[in-house]
Amino acid sequence: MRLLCTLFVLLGLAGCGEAPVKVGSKDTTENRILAEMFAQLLEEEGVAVERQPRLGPTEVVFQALKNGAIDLYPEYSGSALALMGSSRMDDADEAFALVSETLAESGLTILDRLGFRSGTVILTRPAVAAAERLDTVADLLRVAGRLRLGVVRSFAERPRDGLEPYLDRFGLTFARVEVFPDDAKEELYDALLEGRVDVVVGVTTDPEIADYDLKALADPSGFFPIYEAAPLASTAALSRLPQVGTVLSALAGRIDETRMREMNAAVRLDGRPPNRVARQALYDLGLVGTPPRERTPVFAVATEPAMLGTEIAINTLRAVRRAMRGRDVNLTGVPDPLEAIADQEARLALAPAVSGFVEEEGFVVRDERFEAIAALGSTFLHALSAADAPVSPLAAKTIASGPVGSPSWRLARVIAASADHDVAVVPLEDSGAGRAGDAVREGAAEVALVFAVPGRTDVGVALAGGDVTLVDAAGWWKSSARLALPVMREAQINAGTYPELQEPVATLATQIILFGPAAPDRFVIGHQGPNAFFDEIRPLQDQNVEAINRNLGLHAAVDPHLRRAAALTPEVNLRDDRINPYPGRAILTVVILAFVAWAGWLLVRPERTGGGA
Amino acid sequence: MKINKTVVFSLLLCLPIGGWGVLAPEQMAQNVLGFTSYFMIGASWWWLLLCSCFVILAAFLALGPYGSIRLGKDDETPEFSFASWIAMLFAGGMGAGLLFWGVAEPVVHFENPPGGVGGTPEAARQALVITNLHWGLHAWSIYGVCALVIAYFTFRLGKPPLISTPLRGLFSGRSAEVASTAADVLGVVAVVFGLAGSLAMGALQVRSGLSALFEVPQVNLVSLLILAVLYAMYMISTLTGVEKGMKLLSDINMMLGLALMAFILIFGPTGFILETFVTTLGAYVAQFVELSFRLFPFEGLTEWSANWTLTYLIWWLAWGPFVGVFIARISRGRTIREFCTGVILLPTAFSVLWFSIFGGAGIYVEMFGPGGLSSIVAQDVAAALFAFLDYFPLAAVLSFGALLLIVIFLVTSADSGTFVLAMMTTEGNLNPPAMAKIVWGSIVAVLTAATLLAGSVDVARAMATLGAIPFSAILILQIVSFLRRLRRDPAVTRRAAGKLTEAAR
Repeated sequence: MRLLCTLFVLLGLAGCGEAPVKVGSKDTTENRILAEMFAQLLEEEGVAVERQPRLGPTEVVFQALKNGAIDLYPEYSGSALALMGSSRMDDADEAFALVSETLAESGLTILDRLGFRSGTVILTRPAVAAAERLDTVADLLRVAGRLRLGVVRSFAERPRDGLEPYLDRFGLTFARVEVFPDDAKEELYDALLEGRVDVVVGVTTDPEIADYDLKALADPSGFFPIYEAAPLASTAALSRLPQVGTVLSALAGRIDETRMREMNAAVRLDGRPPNRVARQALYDLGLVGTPPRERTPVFAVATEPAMLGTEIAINTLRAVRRAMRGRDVNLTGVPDPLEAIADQEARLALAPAVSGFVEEEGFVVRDERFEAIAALGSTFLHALSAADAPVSPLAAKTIASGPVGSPSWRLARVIAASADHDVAVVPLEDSGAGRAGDAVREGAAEVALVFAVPGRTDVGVALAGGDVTLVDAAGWWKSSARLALPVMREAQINAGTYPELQEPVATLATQIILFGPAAPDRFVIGHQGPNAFFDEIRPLQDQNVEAINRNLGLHAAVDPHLRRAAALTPEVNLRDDRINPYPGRAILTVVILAFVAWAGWLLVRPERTGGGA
Repeated sequence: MKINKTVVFSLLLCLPIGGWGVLAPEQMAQNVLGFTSYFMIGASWWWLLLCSCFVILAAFLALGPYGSIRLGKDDETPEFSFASWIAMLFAGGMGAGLLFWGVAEPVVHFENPPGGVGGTPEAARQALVITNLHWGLHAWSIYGVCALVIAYFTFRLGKPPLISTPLRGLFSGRSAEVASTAADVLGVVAVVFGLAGSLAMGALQVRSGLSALFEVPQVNLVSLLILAVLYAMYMISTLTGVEKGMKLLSDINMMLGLALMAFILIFGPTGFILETFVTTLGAYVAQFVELSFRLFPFEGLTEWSANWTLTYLIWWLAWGPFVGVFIARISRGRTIREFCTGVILLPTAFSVLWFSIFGGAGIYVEMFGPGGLSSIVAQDVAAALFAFLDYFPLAAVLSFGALLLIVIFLVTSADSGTFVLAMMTTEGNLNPPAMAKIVWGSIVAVLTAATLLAGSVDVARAMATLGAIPFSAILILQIVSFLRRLRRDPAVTRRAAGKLTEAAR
């Protein structure tokens, strides 16, 4: 009874105790991450938190704070100044002091600065900057009439430091202005990279700037104010919960620009959830005791080490991360990506289509253990041979390839198996072009095979000496090997792709495929039950496959020679002319009915005299 | 232990089947699972209809004229307290799957509903109803009917608690002898393999749990060590008798399960869970008739039915012989009505609550939390359970508690299985000699070890569900005999006689 009373008292305390701190945020990624960091830090210190993320643009969130709908949110000193209608200030500390003072008059308190500045910056493609000789914002004046500008909605709407004041200040008129939503900033950069706009207004902490090597136009006039991030809270909330200020002061000066850019990249480029990025950052800063959930198994995508960091690998990673909500998706480099799936070390593998075939008793057959989930562009065969005595791979007696199991090794094995003469396949230690070039130079093999997207740096380096050259693989189309590996296509590496390449090289290409485990499809009986357990590798669920394909945008369909994931296979409705397609089942039914009839008779038959129980 | 016909024939059958599974695991699994699969897909209508008829039969027995008949002498009192009885029902009849699939199954149905769009509120609503269809009234009605027949013949009529006892009333002379021997042998074989298959999968479950929690390597040696520990535990438990070991373990099991459930309820999204519970309870009751007869001939989803609903029904049928005999053993002295309420209604209500709490919280994580559970389920069910528990405070303690619960579930199942085997092979001795328990417990352990070494989970699955289809035929005959005998029960005839005399007056 005493226990029950204690329980009720505790419940009462929990119920009518302190109201939680309401942490709001703007639409932007950066703001969401920061708000999440505040919220988690407060929770770690035992303060109840209510999250109000993605409320809208700055004005809306600011209004929400003023009317008490939220208690605090991450704000920037420059934006706050602009909101209050104050004029621009050049000195950061002075500006911050002014901001604090002005905000205090409206019952708001700006807490200690977090340590980074996130200033507005005018960006363009390096190519545009070079062509138009753009260096500073003032240079735009000459050419603005021909250029298209891209901005995000919140910038377009700012009254004092937004689009209109900016255009007015420099007297600019752009050919067109495109506006993008705040929470889809990657679209703004995609548009810039794809040439749909020429100049964009970004923020210095945008990870895309470094990622795509964008050119920032200098602004000696200092039009844009200094934006220093800090938690902005209502004074009333701070006096109600004084510990909030103390807790958040732990973040003061701790987040520098690099860290903020990395966090933005993790969410925007890698598709990680903001709450886990925030948690990881707090953990790295030593402010919380535990990193993000660790018992969730990592969702690994295996690929050859040479593929890591390529655009295809990054696109895949983004698409998979967005499709597998709640999972920690990572790329790992292994020599044989598909075997990593079979060994349950990885869930998916990114490899050339060739990897989906295995040699079995002298024949090359499709590996039914794996299915193709998506196609992500192509990879080209680079056949390296000595420049003074080039040998085509189809004529070579010794072929160097990547390690056993790698795509180039599989291709080499197929060539060897279908050649008229004896061919030795020499597996090298890795699939890089460097080692392949060395093998040719040292005479370990007449030709070395490398799969690469044309222009890959290591191939360029291997060819740089001039003693190794690319040879064409035209003989493939006359060899019987082409039948064994139907996923190879004709392709050409153009002259000039590598500085030493004077003439185009006819070679082979194959799709880069995202492979996953295939369903064994053996039994109808399911894997579950009161005491059931399964350890076999299950395929990805249909909706995940669909989501990955959706996230990849427009891309080619998977080669029809590969086993495709169920979700990608068009539904085939086999019409059967027979009225009963399964005669066996009719017999089964007759047996069952006969048994039931017999049991029924046993039930109703009269008692035998003398017999029975 | 006296050597009788049942023992000889059972051993003669167990050896080749076990040898087949160990020496050619792929082939054995292919054949046995293929056979079961063929029956399931070829006659899906029959299995669903049959099992739904068990529910109707159980309802009729409880509510109809036979409800007041006591399983024992008219003035007998129950042997076990109500709480211990319920605890033992669960411990014997449910496996560790209750933990693994408690979170996993609703989440899977939520993301991939049969026909319809995944991830929607409607899918969430249906997910829990479907889960309860699989673990609710149908499951317990199958057990209940199996147990009721045995209990009636044993305690009411004073005959041995054997699978064959009811059949003897249907046949006479030589055919009775053949039929009853066949039934007994089949019962023993079904229990031996059902137990060995389940234990093998159980050892793998524990290993997978240990690996998720303590990063123990997933190798055969570890599985064998786990099996050794399980063997020691269930042998000790079974040798102390149902009244001591089994009762104690079941009570611990129940307390631990309730504690875990309460913890998730209080520290999880309490309001959401209870709303889920109430709405699921209502939807389950309202849709029960529809769902009990729902197949998908027009949608072409017969595969789905076989893969989920029928798979569960087959599992319950496969476990029927030993859970039935065990439940019968602990139900002495209860009336049929009391029996049906205790064995069917209460556990079902508990199941609905259990799945609302675990599944509800799981769906909450998918819908409003960071998600990802359903994709982990497709990868590793054990990991999904621990990833789920990781959302709660004291996750390490919770996970350890869950693992302990899994172990106890396994031990109690194996304990009751060994006990039942010993009973079946000693002509229905209600307190079989220790020697019989040691022999059968060891045979099961050896078979389990061999299955683990064969290294194919499919073999374990094949073994566990081996007896389901043959046993269903025997069960029908048992029921026929039971119904015939029930009409002549003294309580019924007395009542009829009373009515007659009344009419005569």
